[in-house]
Amino acid sequence: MKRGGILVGLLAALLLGQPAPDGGRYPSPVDLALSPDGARLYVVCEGTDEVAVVDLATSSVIRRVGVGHVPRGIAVSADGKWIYVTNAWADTVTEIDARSLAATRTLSTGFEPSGLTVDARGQVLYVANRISNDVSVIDLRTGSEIKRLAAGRGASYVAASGSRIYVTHIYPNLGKFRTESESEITEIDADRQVVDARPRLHNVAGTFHVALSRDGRLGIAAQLRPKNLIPLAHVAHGWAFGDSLAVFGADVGGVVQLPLDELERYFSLPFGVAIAPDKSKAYLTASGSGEVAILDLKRLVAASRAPERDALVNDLSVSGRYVLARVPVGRNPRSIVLSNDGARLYVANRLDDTISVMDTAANRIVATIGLGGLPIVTPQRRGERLFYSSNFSFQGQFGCANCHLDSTFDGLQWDLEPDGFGVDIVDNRSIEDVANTAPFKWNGGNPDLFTECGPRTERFFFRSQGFRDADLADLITYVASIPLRPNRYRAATGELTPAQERGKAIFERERRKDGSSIPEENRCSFCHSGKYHTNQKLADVGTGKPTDRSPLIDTPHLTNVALSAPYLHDGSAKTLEEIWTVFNPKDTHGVSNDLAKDELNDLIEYLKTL
Amino acid sequence: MGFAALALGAAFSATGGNSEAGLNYVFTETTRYEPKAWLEGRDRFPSGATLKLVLGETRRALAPGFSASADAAVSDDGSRVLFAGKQTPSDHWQVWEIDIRGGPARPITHCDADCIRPLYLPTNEIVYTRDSSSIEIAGKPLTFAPGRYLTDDVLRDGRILFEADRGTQRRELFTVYPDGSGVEALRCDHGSDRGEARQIGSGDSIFHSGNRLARFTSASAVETEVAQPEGTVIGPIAEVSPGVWLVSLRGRAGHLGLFRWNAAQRQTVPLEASGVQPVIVATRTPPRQFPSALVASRTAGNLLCLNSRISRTPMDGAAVRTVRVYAPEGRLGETTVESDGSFYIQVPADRPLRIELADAAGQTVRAEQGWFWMRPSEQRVCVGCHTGPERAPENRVPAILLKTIVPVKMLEVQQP
Repeated sequence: MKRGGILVGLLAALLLGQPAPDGGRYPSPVDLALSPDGARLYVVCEGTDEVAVVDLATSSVIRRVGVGHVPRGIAVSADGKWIYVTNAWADTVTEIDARSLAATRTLSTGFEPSGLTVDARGQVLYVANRISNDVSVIDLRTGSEIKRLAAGRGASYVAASGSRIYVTHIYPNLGKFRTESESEITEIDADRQVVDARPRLHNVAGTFHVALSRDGRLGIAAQLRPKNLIPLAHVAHGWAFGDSLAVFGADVGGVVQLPLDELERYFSLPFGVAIAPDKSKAYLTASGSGEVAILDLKRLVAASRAPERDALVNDLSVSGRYVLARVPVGRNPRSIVLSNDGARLYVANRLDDTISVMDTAANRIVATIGLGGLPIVTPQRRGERLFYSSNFSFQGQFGCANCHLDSTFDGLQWDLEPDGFGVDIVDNRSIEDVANTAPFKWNGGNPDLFTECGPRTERFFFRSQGFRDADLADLITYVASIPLRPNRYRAATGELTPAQERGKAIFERERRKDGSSIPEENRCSFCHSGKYHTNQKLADVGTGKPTDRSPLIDTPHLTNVALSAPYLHDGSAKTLEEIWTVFNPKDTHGVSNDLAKDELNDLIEYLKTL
Repeated sequence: MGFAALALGAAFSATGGNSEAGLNYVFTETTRYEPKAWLEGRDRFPSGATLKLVLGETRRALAPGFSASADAAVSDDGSRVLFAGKQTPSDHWQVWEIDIRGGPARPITHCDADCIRPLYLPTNEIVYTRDSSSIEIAGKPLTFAPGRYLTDDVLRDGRILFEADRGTQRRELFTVYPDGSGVEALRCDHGSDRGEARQIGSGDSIFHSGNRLARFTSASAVETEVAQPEGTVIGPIAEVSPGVWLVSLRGRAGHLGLFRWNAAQRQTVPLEASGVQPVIVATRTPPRQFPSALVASRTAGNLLCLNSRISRTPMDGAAVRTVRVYAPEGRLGETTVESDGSFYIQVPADRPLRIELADAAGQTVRAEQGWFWMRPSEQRVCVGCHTGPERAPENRVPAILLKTIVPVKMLEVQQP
């Protein structure tokens, strides 16, 4: 501890002579890449919209290259000449000349580009787009997107091996109400630029980084198995989440899921993955636990090939077969990258603004590289650290960020009600820009964020000592500050398309198509009014279920509603359209039964702009 | 005595604890300790017991004036000690608290039976064992089934670790939340007679298994080996630093000596000529508080089993058709098990309960050996029938909850 503190102090002093990041913001490193010669580490800093270039000989930041808003992923061409960075909130990729470190081009992508890779010939860029659920195929000669390949929901991370591209997804695919979540690994044949396979990940919600061995025969993806279909009556015994990995490839034969948790110690929110060049070990980060796990690959493959392999993922005593050690690193560790010889592992500690350097022979942290940033830790930043920490739940199993992935949602419906089982099923919703939308909880039971995040969370979710006093205040400060992602369906000018205009007219209409008046309280714009499109009041709109204890629903805000399917308080409507075509037979949730299909489409087009 | 300047382990901070000059600890000075005497209602210290406090090179009686004192537990700030004491030989054991610096002891309990083995909870409450028949906090029981109980430790996750004999003449380790809910075996490998458990800095629990020390580690569902000193270890260990423990060893002549045991060096250094129950005096991070969700005014709890047809031990799960619940006075009810093995029942709170699975002919497929209990408004869930704590649930809506959200009530003993 002490040694670590001294190191950080020394490195902070070293940083005094280095380029400073944008004042007033934290770098928040999320992704890493090495130059092919291993001399430089490129660090994507999502908080300061830049790439920090670290000279590994001196462990110092030598340049900061400005990129687009909220950069998320990075890839380096095989020849090391070009660096590509996704700008998640700008829907672009910044191309950087690795020699001059100058941004040379800005390439357009789908919505919220995240992970990316360059094909082996350095001619094509594959970019996973989280919101548009697809992969942009960009011709690097022209800089144009030449194809858009459909991926799973929340396409976010990419790895390449020869002519195979593997894409993983932060959200589960939309499925039937209250059925097991399904994710996939989207496999792309880069020679033909087509999706070649979609191996299923059953009962998996979020999948994060994916890595392939150098020989391409073994793949590992970090994943989260939610337990959202059973009542959260307690947390012990992996009752809330299964932190795990998907192992796939020729070495395994198919896809096998294996656990990372133990009986009383969880490896919360696995995120980054790296495989040693000699295929002896794999490394994973736990972004909630603040650790790196070191896995013996021979043992991991043996478990993946065991006759009982399909039954292992729910056995908390299995990880001891292949997890050699868990090494503490910084707060909210995200991506990791190994040096070419595998001797050093670099870990991006997002909420410490540092890079941990691990000696992989000794399995210990030997240096910590500071990335600069605000010299003080603000209440908002403290709150963000709490939000992403799993230390407050029983045995460290999960934190706020498990359900609100990257401060959004998880696409799941949960059985959380403490007083009964199968009661009051709740759809998890996005928490961007929610500060002024009280009350909270689907039935409006929590008047403010302190109630929402305080004792209730401690008693019924975490089942352990949760956020209190100053911690709770910091957490609320952070939650209230979570910004709103740009709306992709609304023109920058605010001008609406003809379809959106027609939809707006339907949203605001006061009369049915037959000319009869719609009662005020049954107009869309009555309940969904104001800046956030909620009057912040309860209403019975006929969407309650027999398992709900009350038919009254808190009018939800509609901000960025297009992103957070499924819909209704319990997630029973798979699409916006189903809200009216399936769940509004008596026109109790607004008047919609006189609308034609085209008119509903227009209404949806308008709602997407909110 | 050869005190060394010992580094403090992860479990203990360097402030307020052991000085550079030596080791700070409390132990029970006694010539005879019978760790299982409580199972038979006998005194564990038939030849007397006196707590001694060792602060570096100084030592003194912790609670002078007491006829007997034992079972020390040090507060997380290292400033106070709980102990079981008798002011006169004819008194019952009671729980007392005293400052490390000295001064008068403060009575915590006024039991009409022996109250022993006190432990601090992070809420400033004190849990202890009453008459070997229940575990209590401030006179309110946490245990509601027949058997013998003895508090061992408070785990860092907030659970109370205890040993119990539930009628098998063999001790096993259990945990319970501080509100009495969620009682369960720490592991389900059910090996030798287990007791005298303490959690160490790594999170492992070290305990006696038969006549040897053994370990439960988080990664394993079964007990694992522990390097141990020559001789017979008696009573609980105390961790000084990783791999360095204070242990009590029984010598050939039958007397108890307290030693510092270094597992890596396989070295045993004598500390005290006759002593057991060592406890390090140091500050340490308090365990996590457990926020109870119980509603005291309720009289029943709900139990949901996801799949009663699976077990970690051989069972003809496919034959299971019904589940029966018993109280000591008789059967509380019987209901159908769903096609996926799930069932959902409501049972009376704070009473001994036992579950039995039966086939289509009414023949018993599996019957629980011991009793368990549920607390008022407790919402309890289990993966299967004795699946063990290593089994995480499969994520699937139980068939019973697709059929109904109302539990089958089994609240009164049925008349034959």
